[in-house]
Amino acid sequence: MVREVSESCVDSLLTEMVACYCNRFYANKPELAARRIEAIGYQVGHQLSERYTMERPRFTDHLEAIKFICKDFWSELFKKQIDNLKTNHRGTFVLQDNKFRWLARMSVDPSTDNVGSVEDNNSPTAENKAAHAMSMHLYFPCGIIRGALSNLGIPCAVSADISNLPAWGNLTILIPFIRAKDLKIEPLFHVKNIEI
Amino acid sequence: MIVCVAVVGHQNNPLYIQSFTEADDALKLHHIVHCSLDVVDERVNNPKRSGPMLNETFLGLLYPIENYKVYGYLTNTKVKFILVTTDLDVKDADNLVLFGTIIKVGVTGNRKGGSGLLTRNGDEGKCKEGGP
Repeated sequence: MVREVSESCVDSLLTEMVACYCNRFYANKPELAARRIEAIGYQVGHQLSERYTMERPRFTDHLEAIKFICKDFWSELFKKQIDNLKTNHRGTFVLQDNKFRWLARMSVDPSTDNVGSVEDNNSPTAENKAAHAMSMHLYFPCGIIRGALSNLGIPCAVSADISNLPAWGNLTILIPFIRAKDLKIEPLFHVKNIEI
Repeated sequence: MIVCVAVVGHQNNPLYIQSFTEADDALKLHHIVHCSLDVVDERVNNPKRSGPMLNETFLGLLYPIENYKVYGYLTNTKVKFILVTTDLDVKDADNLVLFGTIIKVGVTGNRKGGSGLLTRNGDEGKCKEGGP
């Protein structure tokens, strides 16, 4: 019944999609490329949530839906559960994945960094480039999560943050709900851990 | 006999509605389906009345009308499946199996996967006819 797809294919597809949008379609407008990639992810997440929630009871509140995203949805997509879930109990959720699968096998093309002098190899610009490339690859998974949540009745904004760059896999995802009144994102240091 | 099946989106927009009668009563059946949406809303907003079936996706018998009985199913994504039948004594288990099949086809297009009604984007990924 369940159709499977090779993991390397998904990796290649993601890389190629990001490369296509960043270097070919919207080479001069990175913001537009990011928005397009996020929109594709939204559509995918919207459809996936329809499939994955097909045979489960309805969610009573937002926390239950978030827990579903952390456990079932995450393990369907990324083959593992989320490592840490935090909330400030005022609508902001922070999801932390210590080994994000879609970034685990990613490396930075060294040829683009070697244009300048050899000493510049470890300069901050090289690191910035790497971080920028990483963040472009994160718009798709962010879109997926936003699509899934909004289909479950939680309109929200999703942003991702990579810390610990050398490990390439340490991902924090921030989900502030958008309410009609306040668009403010709560400061992160008030967050508390909750049991998944 | 099942006389009408309807799939209604989360904003109460019709996604699919099909009647299976010879007589020219499609409009009447559509009206019955339309009325049932209010009953679904009532069930969701007053969970006390539904009692033990709290948060169950299968809503059971929504209401009987004339010679028909109307059953409902509400998914997590607020998509409603409405079934109008003329059988007066149907087991809930049978209905559940039937809804399960309809939903699987609705979501995945056919019983083996693919793209379905609820996961369709514009004209792309049309429902495949029949299963392999």
